[in-house]
Amino acid sequence: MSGTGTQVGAFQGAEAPPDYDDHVVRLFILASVFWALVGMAMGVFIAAQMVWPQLNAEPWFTFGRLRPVHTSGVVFAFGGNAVIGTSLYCVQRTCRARLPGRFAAEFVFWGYQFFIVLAALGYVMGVTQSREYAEPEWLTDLWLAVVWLTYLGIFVGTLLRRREPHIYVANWYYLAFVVAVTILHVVNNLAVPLAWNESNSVSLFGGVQDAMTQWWYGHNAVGFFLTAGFLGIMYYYLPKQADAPIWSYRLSIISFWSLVFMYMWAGPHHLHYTSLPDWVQTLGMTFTIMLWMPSWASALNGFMTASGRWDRLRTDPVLRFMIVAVVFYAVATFEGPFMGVRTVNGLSHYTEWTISHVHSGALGWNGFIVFGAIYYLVPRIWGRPGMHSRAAIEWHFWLGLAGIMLYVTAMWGAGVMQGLMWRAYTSLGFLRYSFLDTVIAAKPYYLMRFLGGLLYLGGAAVMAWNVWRTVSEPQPSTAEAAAPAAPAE
Amino acid sequence: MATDNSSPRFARLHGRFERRAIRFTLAILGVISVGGIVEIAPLFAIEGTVEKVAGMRPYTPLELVGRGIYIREGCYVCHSQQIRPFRDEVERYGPYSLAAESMYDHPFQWGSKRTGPDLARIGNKYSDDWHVRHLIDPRDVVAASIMPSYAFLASAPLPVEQVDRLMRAHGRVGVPYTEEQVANARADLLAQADPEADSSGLMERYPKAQARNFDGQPRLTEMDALVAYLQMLGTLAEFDWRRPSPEMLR
Amino acid sequence: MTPPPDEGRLGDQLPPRPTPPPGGPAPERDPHSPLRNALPEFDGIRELDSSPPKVWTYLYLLTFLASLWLWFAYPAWPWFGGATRGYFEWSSRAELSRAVEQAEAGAPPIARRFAAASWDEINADPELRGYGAAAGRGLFGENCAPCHGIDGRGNLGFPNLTDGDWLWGGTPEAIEQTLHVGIRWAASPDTRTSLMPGFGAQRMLEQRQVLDLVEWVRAASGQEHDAAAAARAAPAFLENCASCHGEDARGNQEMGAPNLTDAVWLYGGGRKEIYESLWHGRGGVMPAFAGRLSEDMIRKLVLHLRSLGE
Repeated sequence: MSGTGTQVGAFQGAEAPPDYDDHVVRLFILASVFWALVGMAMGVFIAAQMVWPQLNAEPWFTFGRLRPVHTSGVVFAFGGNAVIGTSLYCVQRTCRARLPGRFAAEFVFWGYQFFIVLAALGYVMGVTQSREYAEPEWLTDLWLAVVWLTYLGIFVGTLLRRREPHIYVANWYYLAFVVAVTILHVVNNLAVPLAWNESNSVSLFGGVQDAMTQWWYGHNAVGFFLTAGFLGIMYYYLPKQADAPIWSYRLSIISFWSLVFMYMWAGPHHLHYTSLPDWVQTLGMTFTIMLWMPSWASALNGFMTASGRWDRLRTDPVLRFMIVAVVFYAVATFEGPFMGVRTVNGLSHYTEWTISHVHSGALGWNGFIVFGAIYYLVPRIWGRPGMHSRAAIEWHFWLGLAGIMLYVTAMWGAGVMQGLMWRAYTSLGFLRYSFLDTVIAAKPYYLMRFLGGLLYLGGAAVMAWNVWRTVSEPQPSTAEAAAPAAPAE
Repeated sequence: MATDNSSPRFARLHGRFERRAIRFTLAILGVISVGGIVEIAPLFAIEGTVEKVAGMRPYTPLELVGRGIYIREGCYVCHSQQIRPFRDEVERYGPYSLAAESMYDHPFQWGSKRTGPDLARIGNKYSDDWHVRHLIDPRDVVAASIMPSYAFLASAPLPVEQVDRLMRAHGRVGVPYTEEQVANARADLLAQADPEADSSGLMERYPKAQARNFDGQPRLTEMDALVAYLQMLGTLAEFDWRRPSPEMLR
Repeated sequence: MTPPPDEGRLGDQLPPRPTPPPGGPAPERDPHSPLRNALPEFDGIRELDSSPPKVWTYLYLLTFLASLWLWFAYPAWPWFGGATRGYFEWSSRAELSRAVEQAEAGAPPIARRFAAASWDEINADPELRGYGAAAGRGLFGENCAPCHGIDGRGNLGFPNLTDGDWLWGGTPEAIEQTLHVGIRWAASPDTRTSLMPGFGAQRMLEQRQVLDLVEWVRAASGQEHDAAAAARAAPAFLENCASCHGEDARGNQEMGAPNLTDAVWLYGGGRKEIYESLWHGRGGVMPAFAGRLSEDMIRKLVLHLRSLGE
């Protein structure tokens, strides 16, 4: 089942490279592509519901029940499968060791898919903890914990079996991602089930402590799932695709430990001006501000790594995906600390500005870096000379970029407008707008957002088609398969 | 040995970690634990994090079940229950929210987005009839609304039995339900939605409870429970934000 | 995967790494690496050791300094059963009190004049009336529009506020009272209570009589009707309805009884709707706003409501 991916990589030493387990990587990549379509289509659908509320089909398909299907679909299903798949490919090669266990990796794969299906069905049926990005109920959570610990086991197991003296920087990030998500998942989901045979539970913490725990989790779902995990992707697949060395090892060290330490403090910026005590808010704000430069250090390392390869941006859409992803990472990690400042947050909180910020990160950074990694991986793990269609990659890129631009500007405009309208006073000293005025004013922006999402989904559909054609093409001879997909030149 | 004495110092130092998988894992574990511990643990320890305020009580059985419907339908996705101390917010929604007001919320429902307005003090702002019609078809009463309709609530019978487990689970996580309250859960639930019933026991156990036929139909439905919950929101705590106690300024 | 020459790369200028012979042993150290070969190659990826740009380092330090300042100035760290208060003793809630005081101090003179004026003074002063009506607009949108519509034109069961037809009286004082105590609002002791009973459902009238009364009401309001049935219902009207709606059916604002002779229908003027009203009764509910809104806000709302009909 495995072994076709072993040819990739430069000469490493006297011994032959081990027989890597790429079967499970293929599964994860296919799942990621599949869930990308599902999760993004769900996003487009709920965006449409905000334009045409008649599309809400009660009781199962209302916005309230479908939104977690979208968020879990893109974050955990599309993103999660991509991070796990790319990490298992990367860790084997940078450790020159095969994954331990014969069935463990495949158990993680099928277990994770089962978790996703279970969670999504639950949401639609109204089984939810109402904890944002941690909506699945206790049974599903327990199942995920088992799967995740197995993943931790095979990842650390591979590190322990490595035939390199050092652990590569991409693996630091992947490791931080696996470890932190374990802690976050367990602590945030502490709950008392109504009964052993009931799907619902009551969370252990309540009120202000519960809010703090949830946003400690929620922010670090961003920090460790959507940042650390995806920086892992960047640190392996960007230098690979650019064919260039990592620019600065010491910057990697500084930014890694800063990020890992500080992210955990930043949660309270989701609760500015709430009934969370002011001191926690200040702490959260300061660590949010201090996160700015460590984040930019990672972005800088990405840019400078590719800096000798700018000429390729014109011709190599895969590298372009990755570089644009890093641009969006830099943009989002500047906007984030800015929005984390208490007074700025007073304007932005509860508005579409947050939605804009999240999507510039999710569509631009997370989406594009994964697309880049998928285009890098697919020919290699299936032993093809390259992707089926290079033009399709170009189409995907431009559709995606146009979609992001439309989406992010629409929601930014709507958000700033809402924030300003809510606090607008007339010269005589009374509220200028009612809440309903702001709902009406946001409607054109919701339509724009829907169109932006549609473009982005269109790009992902082009990718899915391209991946499918590449994978289902007849197998070339082994000699051809041995050649890595040549970067277009 | 890949790092040696000629390597830069930080590389040698870092090499102690990045050449040891378990040590590296434990180092990550240690470093990520600090922030959460410093920010979360004191919230349980510092007195005054949750203000002492008159009027707060645990939810009545009917309100608790209604809250479950609020959670199930994902209302928190578009509605916050958290009024910030801003001039425009207290003018628009009422006094800012206190931590005490959500102390029996497992989990909390502060929300993070206002596609619709804040609901922290929606209780008694509109009539039951309005709520029922609005939930059945929001655009029937608010033409520009983009809220989904929840007509099925009005025909979904309310399963009464679940309230026992729900209340006991809340008791286990620290909501101070008394033996008496748990024992009378079902009776109190029925009494609150039935204008004919004797609600004196309910009123004694849950001051300020509102008992009436919330959805206007003879049957007990999910609509009754949800409207009862909404009509209670923000009506319990008694405090004057214009004269904050020192404890409120934390 | 041999890297091309590193010409023109920023950072450390490296000569190309010597390519080891395929299958041969890896070199123990790379003499060209600035890390003195501190790190091996990972799957063909090498790592340089460029120094972070100075600008980056300074900005990073600056964020630390900013944080130190914020920790010093604002409540920040948990400390022995409480938390540091910060140099400014700042609190988000105290900040609100300040903002409100400031707004009140900076309010235009007319705001203070309005707050001090009696209804008579307000009625006599178009400027005060205009001020109050404009001030009430936002309050209306927030508190009244969900039921009465953003334009105040009402909805089935929620009266139109723009037609000059007031169920409980349209004087400023009467509207103010309605806003204060609500309509059939159980929690308010002085609430406006009287309601239309269900004459059929409560077996006060037989179905035949109710059907006749429907025709009587339609006749009174000048709609198409069965004259014979309407005539038959006249005694029943006097006996059952006139006490509230008046012998002339023109209503009574003391009891919130609507005028039946005009074209204004809260629940519809068709046969079916009138029958429904008679058979099951009606009793719309409006919350009391005393307590939720200040006296000043309520008066502004009253003026806004009155301006809607103008």
